[in-house]
Amino acid sequence: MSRLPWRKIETSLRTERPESGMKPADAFWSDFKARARLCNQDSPVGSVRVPMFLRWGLATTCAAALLAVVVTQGGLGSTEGGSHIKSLEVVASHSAVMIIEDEPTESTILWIVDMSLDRGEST
Amino acid sequence: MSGKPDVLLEQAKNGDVDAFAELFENLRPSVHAVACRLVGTADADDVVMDTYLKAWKALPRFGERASLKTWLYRITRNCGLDLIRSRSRRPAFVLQGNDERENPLENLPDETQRLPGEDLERDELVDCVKAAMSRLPPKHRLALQLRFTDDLSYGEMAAVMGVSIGTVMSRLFNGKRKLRKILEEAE
Repeated sequence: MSRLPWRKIETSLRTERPESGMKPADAFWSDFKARARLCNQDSPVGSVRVPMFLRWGLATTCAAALLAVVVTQGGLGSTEGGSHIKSLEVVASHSAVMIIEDEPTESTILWIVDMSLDRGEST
Repeated sequence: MSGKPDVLLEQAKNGDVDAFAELFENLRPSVHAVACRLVGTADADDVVMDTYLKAWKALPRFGERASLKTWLYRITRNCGLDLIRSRSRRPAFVLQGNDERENPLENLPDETQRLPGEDLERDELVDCVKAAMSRLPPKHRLALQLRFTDDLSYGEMAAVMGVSIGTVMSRLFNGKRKLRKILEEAE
């Protein structure tokens, strides 16, 4: 079997360009200009976008801190002898919840691992 | 009006639509060709218009980290995908005008009349290549078309295909290998 030189195949590929059928420049640009008038350009300095993982990292940290405060303040049933959690529900999906008893501060820290949101981003 | 690209870019960024038109008109055939690859010729003009409107809107934020062309190709890809999603159909990664029912590979001359591959008539080879391309997986076909038919750089191809340059090179390599195999099997 003869081996077809790639150069010949490539030359054939170069002729494969589909028929343009492109709108004539005048028609295209008059249409474009009419539409562009209705569409404001963005500001040169775009709004600062915080990456999703940072946003959710921050949210998780805040949630964990809030829960810790709630627990240490007795919001979830702490007793004088230490924290005591009777029940806990994390609505967002997560892989684990760690309950850390911090004796020096006599507090309980709730650490929610891999809490994720509806779109699957996780921290 | 005929200005320097960097001057036109600044003017366009400041809202000068004529400067935008002058700057982007010469890119329109390339963008149109890419749009044809993504959505087919019937919808290509719509994709080009969407692309240009999005480019117009976002131009003030264009940071010149990528080339204008690569940036525009990335927008074209997104607009093409938006159109495909909105119309709930698969991308038309087919060669335009290629009728599967008239596959030239099935109509090759018989063995006694057949010439060796290197001596195939040019038109016949073009038909064979076209038919062989239609049998390639879409991702390999698109890679070969963008590279060899539309003359895109690896970076531009990566923007259109939404993959890394390494993946582009891999798809080109595999596409070439598969295309050659199909052609040689058809001989």
